[in-house]
Formats: sequence, C-alpha cells, structure tokens
Amino acid sequence: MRWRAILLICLMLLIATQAEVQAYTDPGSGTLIWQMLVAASVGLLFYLRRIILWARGLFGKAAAHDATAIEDDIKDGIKKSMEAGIKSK
Amino acid sequence: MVNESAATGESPRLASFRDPAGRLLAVEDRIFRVVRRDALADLQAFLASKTYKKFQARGALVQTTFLDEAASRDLFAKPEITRLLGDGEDCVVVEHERVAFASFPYEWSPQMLYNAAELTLDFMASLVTEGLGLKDATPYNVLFRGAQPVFVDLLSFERRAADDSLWAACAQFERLFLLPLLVNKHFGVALDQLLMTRRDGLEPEEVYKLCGFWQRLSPAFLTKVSIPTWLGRRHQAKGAKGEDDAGIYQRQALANPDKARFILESLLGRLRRALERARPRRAARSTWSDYLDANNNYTQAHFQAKETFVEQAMREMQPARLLDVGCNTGHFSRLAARGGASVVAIDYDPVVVGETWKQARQEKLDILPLAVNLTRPTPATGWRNQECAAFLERARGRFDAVLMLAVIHHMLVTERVPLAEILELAAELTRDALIVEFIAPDDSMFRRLTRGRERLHQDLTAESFEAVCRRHFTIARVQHLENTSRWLYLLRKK
Repeated sequence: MRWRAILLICLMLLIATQAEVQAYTDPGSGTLIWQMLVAASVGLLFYLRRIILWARGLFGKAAAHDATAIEDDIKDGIKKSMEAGIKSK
Repeated sequence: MVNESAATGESPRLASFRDPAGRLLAVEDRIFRVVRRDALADLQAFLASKTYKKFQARGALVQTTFLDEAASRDLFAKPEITRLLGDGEDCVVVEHERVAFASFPYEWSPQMLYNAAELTLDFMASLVTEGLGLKDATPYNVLFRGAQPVFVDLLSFERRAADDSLWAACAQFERLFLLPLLVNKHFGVALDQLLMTRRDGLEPEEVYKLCGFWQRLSPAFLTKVSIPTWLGRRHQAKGAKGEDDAGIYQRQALANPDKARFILESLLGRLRRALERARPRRAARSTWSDYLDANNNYTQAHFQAKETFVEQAMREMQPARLLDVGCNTGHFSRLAARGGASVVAIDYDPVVVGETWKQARQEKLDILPLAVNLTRPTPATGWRNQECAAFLERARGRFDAVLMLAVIHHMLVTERVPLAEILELAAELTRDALIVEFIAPDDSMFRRLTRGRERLHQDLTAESFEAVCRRHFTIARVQHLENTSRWLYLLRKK
C-alpha cells in the first residue's frame, strides 16, 4: 500500500516536471544553462591540461617542448580531419 | 540587433531601432549609422583591430567612413533628420557603402544561410583573440553582394572582459542559424517557412517536438535540442516553484583570463562542428534540379538558338543590372553575368537557387540568387511591416533588363495570373529591356501544365501575346524557334 503511494507520488513528480508552463516562459534558458555546464567542465580540462604540461616539464625542457608539439599535432590532426570531412561531403 | 532593410516609404527613414548603441538612417540612396558617443569606444576598438583589417581586405565587411564635422552638421541641419533624431549632439555619424540589393534569410537558399553562419563564426573566432566579440549573432547582420556574404552591422562589435568565458549570443546563433539549418536538412522545411514570421528563429523546444524518440538522442540533436529542452524545463519548474531562476543571468567572472579564452575557443570549436553537421546536403534533388539536363522540348539546335538570341540581346543592351525570373540552375544568369551584368536571379525552388549560388561562387560571378516566387513574392515584414522591405519594393525600377525565359506559361497556367498583369509587372521591374520567351498552348510542356483545361487558354496566340506586349513595350526583335510553338522576344519599354 505504501509502495503504491510512493510510486504514485513519483509518477506525479515526473509529470509535474514535464509540464510545460505556457505563460512567461523563459526560452533560451536551457541553451544558456547547457553552455554554462559545458564551460565548467571544459574549465576543468584547462587545469588538467596544465597539470599534464607541468608534469611533463618536470622531466626536462625537451619533454615539455614535446608536450606542446604533441598538442599542436593533435590540433592539426583535428583541423585536417575536419577539412577532409568538409571536402568529402 | 539591427535589421538592415531597403527603403520603404518616405525618406529619410529610420531603418532600425533595437540597438541602444545607435540607429540606421536611410536618406535617399545613402545609408548612415548614427552612433551614440557612449557606444563609440566599442566601435573604435573594433576599427583599430586586426580583425577589421583582415575582413576588410577580404571584402567581408561593409565599407564605412566617418562623416567629418561639416558633413555631419549638414545632415543634422535638415529638419526631417532633427525630427527623427534630435540635434545630434550626443552622436557621431558614419556612412556605409550601400549594398546593391538587400536580401533576407527567408529568401536565401540553405547554402547561403550556412555561408553567413560560417562568416559569423569566423568573425567571432578572430575577435576573441583580440579581446573583442560579437554582441549578437543573427543572419540579419549579413547581406549578400552578388554571391559573397558581407557583414553590415558595425555596432555588433563590442569589447569583452578578459575574464568572461561565455558568449551571450551563442543561443541566438543556434536559434537563427543552426536550428533552421538542422530542421531544413532533416525535415525538409524551407527557410521561408521557418524564418519569415519568426524574427528570432527557432527555439530548441520547438525542434524537440518535431523529433522522434531516437532522433532526439542523435549527435546532431542531442546537445543543441534535447539537452537544452530538458534543462529549460527543469529551470522552468524551479521558477514556477518560486526558486531563484534569474541567477543564471548574473555574469560570472573567472579568475584566470587564459582559462576564459580556452573555454571560449572550445565553445567556438563545438559550434563549428555542430554547424558542419547541419550543412545542407550536397546532392539535393528537387523537381526542377534536372530540368536543364532533361532538355524538355529543346533540341540542341533550339537551345543554341535561344542562347544566341539572349547573348545578342545582352551585347546590344549591355545591362548593368539584370533580373532573371525563373532562373532554374542559372544558365542564363551566368551568361548575363559573364557579359558584365550584376544579376539578381530568382526561382521559387530553393534547391536550384542553391545550385545557382554554388556555381556563382565557384566562377566568382556577380549573381545574387534568391528563393522568391514572383507570383507570390516576399512581403514586407517586421514591426509595422516596415523593417524588411517587400521584394517588389526592392526590385521595382532597379533593373536595366529582365529575363523571363520559359516561365510565363507557368504563371499563366499554374498561378492563373492574367497575361496583361504579368507584362505590367515586368514593365515595373525593368527600366528598359524585357527578354521573354512565349510558349503557345499547343506546346507539349504547356499542355502538361493545363491538365485538360486547355479551354482556358484557347485565345492565347503569338498575335494576342504581341498585342498585350505593345501596351507597355515595343517589339525590338522576334525569333520563332523553328518547328516549335516557342517565340523569343526582345522588348523595349515605351
């Protein structure tokens, strides 16, 4: 009996959050929130990249130089595959 | 955000009003932008930037000159101007080069919208490296000079704080460029249906409703449609419950400007990839895309004769500006453009308009193709129907020659427009020449259109056609294509 009540409440909550309020909607909020969430995770990536570079730096200047060279290679690779993608279409 | 438009009604006229930084003023044939002094710093920062020089050199930015003191005073001396704008004490005036033929995103083919999107992202990518950015991202900031896009809204440029990691106009970019392109590509809805009545484009929620369950999870739609919809609903629900929902609009400053830059560049990279996924299909087909290859009713000889006739007319008339009605894949537009004319080519099928545009780009010809149906042309849109001028408004009396090849029988039969009306409109559009192909009712293509209702057109003969022509034109030259029911006319306006 209690489980049925809980199930019913869950269902109602699910429906409640899916309800579309027509008046004074705030369109564009979804896109903005998503941009902010992605920005936050990309921000973490920024620090991660720096840590990797710093760690590589510990193994000597040559290694750090390699790290940036590797990064550039990756970027070029991405650019080239994008261009190839464009040409093949 | 500024809506660039051609003049409707009296001049001088204020052509924009949304941007607090300034207003666009149309005086006769000249375009001025009145910039408020407090917005001048952003504009000057842009004009001093490398981005400005780079894009100016590319021809991707409209020419701009500051008016000197004397000219500015002269302008504000006019009572009509002071009535619209006050005494001009708190503003500075720049003049823009006028783009020959204004056009709007609901008239473009998808390839042109895609191209305008690329230009916007190119600008943004270049601007962020200099601490600048775009305030808005809308196709109304772009006009086409022939087949080349040119950015026209000088007040879209702003200085950005170094610690700002978000692009506020990203959502607008998605609404006006990405989502319409996606919906056009996946659901086949034409751009005029999506953009004519919607100033600010499509919301993710609207596109979400169109998608099937699995489509919502596909890469093209997941991050641009589904996730924003789900997050938007959650945010909505929070707001309805009374929790703080305006917090997301507070500007967040990051401590590290490099990090902010990194995040921004990652965003622009993601937008570019999303745009790639929304690219219009290369080999799109429509009822009309194979028309020229199918050679309906034209033998080689006939087609040659038609080409020769048009070429001769071009050489004779040397039109500076030409309108090609029913351009199809643009064969005759290219003919005219190679002869030095500035061409506007219209056809109601957006697929062939896209083809025409691609070829014009490849051959670097001055052809502006638009998806416009002359029997139901683009209306005036916007606030009071005065922001974006109607097609006929922009076109009347602007062309030295008009081509109507193998098109009037469609207007006569399918659209049931009387011949006298068609020729009267042609007389309004052209300043001088009209090259028209008349197809008589016994032609097989004509009969295919009438579908059994030949009786409606039984009085249409070459003679009756010529009689109607003579109301507004003199017949300079006629050529009957041998063994066909087709005549080519070169008409001159009386």
